[in-house]
Amino acid sequence: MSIDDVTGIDPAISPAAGRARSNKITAGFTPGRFALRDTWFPVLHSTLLGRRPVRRTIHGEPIYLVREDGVAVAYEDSPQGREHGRLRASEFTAGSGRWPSHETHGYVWVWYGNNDTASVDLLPHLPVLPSAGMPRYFGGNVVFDCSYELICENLLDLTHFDFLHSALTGDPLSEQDEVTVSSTSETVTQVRRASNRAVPKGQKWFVRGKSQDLVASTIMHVRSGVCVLNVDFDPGVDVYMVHPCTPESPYRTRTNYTFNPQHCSRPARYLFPTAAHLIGSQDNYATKPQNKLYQTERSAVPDMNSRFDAAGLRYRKVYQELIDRQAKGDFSYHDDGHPGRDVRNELDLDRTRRGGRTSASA
Amino acid sequence: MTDVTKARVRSKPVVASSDESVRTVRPADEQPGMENFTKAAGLALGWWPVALSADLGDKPVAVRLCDVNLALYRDDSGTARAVLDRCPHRRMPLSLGRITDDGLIQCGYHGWSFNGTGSCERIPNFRPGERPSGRITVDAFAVAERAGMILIHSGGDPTADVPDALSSRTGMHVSGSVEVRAPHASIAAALAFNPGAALGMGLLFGSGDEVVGPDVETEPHRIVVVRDRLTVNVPRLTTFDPAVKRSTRARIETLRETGLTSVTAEIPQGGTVHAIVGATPIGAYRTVVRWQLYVTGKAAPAVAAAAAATWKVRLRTRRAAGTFASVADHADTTYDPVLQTLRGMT
Repeated sequence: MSIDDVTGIDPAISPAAGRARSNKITAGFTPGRFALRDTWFPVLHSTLLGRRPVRRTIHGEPIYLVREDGVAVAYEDSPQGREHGRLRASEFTAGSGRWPSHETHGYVWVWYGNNDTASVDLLPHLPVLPSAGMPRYFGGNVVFDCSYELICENLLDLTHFDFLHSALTGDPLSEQDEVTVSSTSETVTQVRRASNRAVPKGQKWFVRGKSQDLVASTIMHVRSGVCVLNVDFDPGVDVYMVHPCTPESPYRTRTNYTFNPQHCSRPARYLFPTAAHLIGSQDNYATKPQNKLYQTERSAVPDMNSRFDAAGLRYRKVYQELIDRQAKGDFSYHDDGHPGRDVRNELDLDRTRRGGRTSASA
Repeated sequence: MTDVTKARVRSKPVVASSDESVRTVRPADEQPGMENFTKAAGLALGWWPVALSADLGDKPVAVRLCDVNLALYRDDSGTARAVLDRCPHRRMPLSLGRITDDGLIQCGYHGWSFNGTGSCERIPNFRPGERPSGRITVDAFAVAERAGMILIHSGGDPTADVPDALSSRTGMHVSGSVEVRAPHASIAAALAFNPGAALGMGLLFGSGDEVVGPDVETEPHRIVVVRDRLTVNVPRLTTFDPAVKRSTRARIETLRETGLTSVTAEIPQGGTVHAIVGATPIGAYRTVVRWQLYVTGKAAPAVAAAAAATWKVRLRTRRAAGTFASVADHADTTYDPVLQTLRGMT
């Protein structure tokens, strides 16, 4: 199926979807209304958890993280609250007041769902990061004023990169530009291969030459909003990145990102993480007012789409299917969408760059 | 893995593929915007002021009429345009975007660009010559610009007569606006009852007690009243005569549907002052008041400068909205033939 065939409201250009499905995706997309569960959320960078407790939130549920004998532990109550005997005992902690948690790849992960099904096997495969995590400098927190579904869709959105972030990621003009979208019952993967694009203004100071190729691979884990990216500007920096979209509330999403830049000079490597808040604020400029309109509009007017919205629409489709399943009480993972599957090939980590170098992994 | 989709996206620059008319407003029966207002309770048919001409610069402006958010802008010919402040693509407010060199309003998120009739003219990444689907539209509204005010017709009829009160004015002019926490009907009543006090322009239009009864002329769509009020509203000492007895005579014309008010008075030194005041409901208990003051005569520069300076001080000291609200509250509980008519009690 050609990407030209996937657009929103016109049945003539959306033949396979059908009007009912199309309408559910384009008009019935209601971010912030449903909490998908039974998944791991990377709630905190390990390096940020020291002597003091840290509070985080998943879908409005409080999580107090502390380090006890070097092990990260997640409680439902604050340490002061526990001293005073105020104990929450929600279904997410099976009445124990203690969230299932695990620490790996530089994150403290918390399981949101049925404790009986919590398994480290269901942690997403993160080949872009060392298992011990990156130094603290390569991580940070961007807090968006919107529901996490909008940030997930934003990450799979091609044209906004070329328009909103063009100074850093490049404009839409390429010699060749190919986009592949695929999905499982749990993930959406988008790979974009563009060649001979002009080197964007924001990269000129560390990239030699006037043109570069771009391979951008994005895997979105729909339940948790964890996004794994390999954005390879060749020549230029090859950015390995984990971009969580942790739903704190219908109005707030925490992205505690980790960069792992490859193939760039030391100054560029250390400067690259500073781009997070630059790009984050540009996205928030759009998603904050967008969130209000998605959540307060009384009539379900369908969103209109172009063929470049294929990945975003695929995300909405998988998201809606997960909601439909979970609303019926089915929280299981299907075989095709196992989060722990090897995604090295999907991310194209072993591709050969210009000059014959291999895109080395962490 | 399922459903792999592949595509090639465009490889050359986007060129504006059409220059077909973006200058005309659609006929009334094709105005998609009007259905937005039929949903808004209590918004009468007519031209509603939504902005001052001076508000429209080189960027789109967000305004609100009842519960409908609009993006106002000027196209490349300088014509004021209004579209729903919601991109049909991903709902980002279009007022946060920009105006392109060829006069389209461009969404700030993905760059979809719309003309004054609401049609999508351009989508970035499209191939040269490729046009967006004709189904991609944003609601466009009938706009008029008169006497320094931008007006939207709630029925979507661009050919509807614009009120005479907004016919061209001459003289020096200044303008201002303020958001008041009061319902639109109360603000309209305040303007018909005591515009000088409400605007803080008692020296021009009078603001104290009426010294003679109002001379009222009621027509189907407007009320004209001539009031002679004490110029200065100085509190009286018990039952003594007012300390300042000077009065000012003002002619107040109020449009019954929209509350658009026009106030005219003479300047003692020669010349006239003419205020056009629009009240825009933006919620059940919030109204934006926009005024435009035209002054003629020898004293015009001084009067205009004083009016502008006074308004600025009143805004800075947060008295402008409060005065309006208190006059509106007073009008709500006062007997007056004009107010009775506006209340539909006569």
